[in-house]
Amino acid sequence: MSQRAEHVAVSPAKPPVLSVRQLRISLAALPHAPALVDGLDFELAAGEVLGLVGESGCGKSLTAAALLGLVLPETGQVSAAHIRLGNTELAQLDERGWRRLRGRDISMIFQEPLTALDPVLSIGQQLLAVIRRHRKVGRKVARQLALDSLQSVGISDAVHLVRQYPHQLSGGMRQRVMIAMAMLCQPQVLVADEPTTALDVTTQAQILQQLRQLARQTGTAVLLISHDLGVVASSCDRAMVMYCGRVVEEGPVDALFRRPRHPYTAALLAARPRLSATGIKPVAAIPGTVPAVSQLPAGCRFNTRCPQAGPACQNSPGWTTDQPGAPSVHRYACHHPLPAAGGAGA
Amino acid sequence: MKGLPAGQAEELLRINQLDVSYALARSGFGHAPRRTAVHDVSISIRPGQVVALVGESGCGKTSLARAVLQLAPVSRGEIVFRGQAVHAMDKNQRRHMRRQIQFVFQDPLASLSPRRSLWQTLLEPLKLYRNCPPSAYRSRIIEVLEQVGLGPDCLESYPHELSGGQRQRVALARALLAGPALIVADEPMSSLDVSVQARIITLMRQLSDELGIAFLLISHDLAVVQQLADLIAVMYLGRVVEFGEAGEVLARPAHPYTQALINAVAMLDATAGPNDPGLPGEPPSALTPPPGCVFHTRCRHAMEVCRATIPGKSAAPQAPGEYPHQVWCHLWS
Repeated sequence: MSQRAEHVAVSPAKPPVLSVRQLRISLAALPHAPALVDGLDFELAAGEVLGLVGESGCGKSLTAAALLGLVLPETGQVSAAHIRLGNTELAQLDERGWRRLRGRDISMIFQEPLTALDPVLSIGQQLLAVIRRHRKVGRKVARQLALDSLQSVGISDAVHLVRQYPHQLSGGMRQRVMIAMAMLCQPQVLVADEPTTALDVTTQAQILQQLRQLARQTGTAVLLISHDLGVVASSCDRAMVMYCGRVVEEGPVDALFRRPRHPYTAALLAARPRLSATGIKPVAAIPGTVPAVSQLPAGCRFNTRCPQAGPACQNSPGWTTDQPGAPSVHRYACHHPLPAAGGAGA
Repeated sequence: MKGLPAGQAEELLRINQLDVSYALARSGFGHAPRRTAVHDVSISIRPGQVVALVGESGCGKTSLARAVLQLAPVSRGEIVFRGQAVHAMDKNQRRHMRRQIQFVFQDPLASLSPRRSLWQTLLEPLKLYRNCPPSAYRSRIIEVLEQVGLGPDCLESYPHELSGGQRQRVALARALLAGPALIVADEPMSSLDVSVQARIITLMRQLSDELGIAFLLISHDLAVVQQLADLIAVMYLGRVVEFGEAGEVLARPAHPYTQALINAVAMLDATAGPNDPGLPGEPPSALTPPPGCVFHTRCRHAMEVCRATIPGKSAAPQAPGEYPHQVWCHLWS
């Protein structure tokens, strides 16, 4: 029996290290358009990997930028009831405060490591720069810390690697270096924006496994942003599905991908080509295109493309959940959810 | 299997024992050393067929595709287009061939001119190849745009105003306007969202089914390849290690590398068992490929013989089919 869930605690299992309430981001260039990220709520527990999935332009990367204080006032405006990292209120931080925090308490890895690494500094120099900025340790200890962090991401020949430059490394190695650098200070939260999109499948699998292991071992919470449902399904504990700036469904990945309730989640799953030993499962494209920011429909933002849409969808749907009180709630914002038993995913 | 039955099938393109090698920077003494990116590859494509080249980055799949278009140096072997060796063609024949082989690149934003409207971009192949009278340019462009699922109202737009999926369709439309028999598509899907990928897959399928256009599809994503390919060639460090009909190769992968690739995809889909070891390490440098079987450094079945001798072609067990399922691995010899 479905119930309205007005004030659901998203992940009450452990005390959250990051808590975000009513995050809104609007762009300065489009002052009259609706917010690009509209009312985002989530919590991250220590050691947890939370996925954020959606098509390009849905606001995933903007969310990541906001969490690290990288949305400049001239680009856009960030507002929130609160964004709390441990005991720090990020919404009120000034640039000095941010500089102390970034890389130490919250860090980020990007899709393309070649543009995120400095081409004229060796890997060792770049790692030491992070340590010098945030930790008061001697040269010898710093060097050891750098080597240890490289080893923790599966680089066996760290002593040799610290002398190399980014262009000498393969894409997978560069991304490992990025992860090592982001984890140097054992931050409370790591934001990973499409960390494996530019890599080969075999390397993707290795890196995602390492990221997950690191989160477990160090207690760092990871927000993994991806457009690839497979990446999220295989490496996250929970996930949020975002469409046009709003989360439409969230929950443990098992429930979310095996029994999607929101038509958008189901459509994304059906659109994904999947390898199968028994033959071709045809893909189903989602009809229509993502509406432009200036042309977002009233009510549920998916109503222009949704096969289930009806008159009720002209009003924004609230959250519904099937299992109130479960430790990690599967909830969705839809007036006409798909039946609980069926679903396109498997 | 698509295309004509085996007996009467005409071959569109045959790649025959091809080597592609690049000259490296000179050291200052003697000849510049060469790096061989593609070793001894033979593949043939018939009209309407989709042949996929699969492998990790650096395996030589892009070099092979570029060699087909004479964009990479062929150091041995030959490429035969419609029964004629490309290296023996004169200027006119080569020009004629180039019209019939079109390329679609990975990143449409980089391959479309930012300063040209779609109309200008799409007019170019028509003017260049003069395959329809000027009075029919507009109707021809609109017809092709319709085939790729775009309306005529976008003709005045510029690439930056389009979404990624729309841009890739424009790139396909531009290729189609030349009237090609073969489209070489280098990772055409990897810069696109899943929902858009699904449409491009459906579109490419239609083009090959309805217009009989053959595709040489380069991809590292086996899930996409399964949707489209009739034949699959799996490449590793410049060599083909397995070849066969798509259904065969994916259902009964014979080479340990193909098995590892399939496992990696399954793992990303969270369907693999928790103990699946995955594929350790990364491909060794193609500058100094290991002796013997190039895959032995990462292969869990590696034996003494694998370290010493390059494996020859063997037949892999298969269901009866038109094409043999071939594997280059000592486990099967």
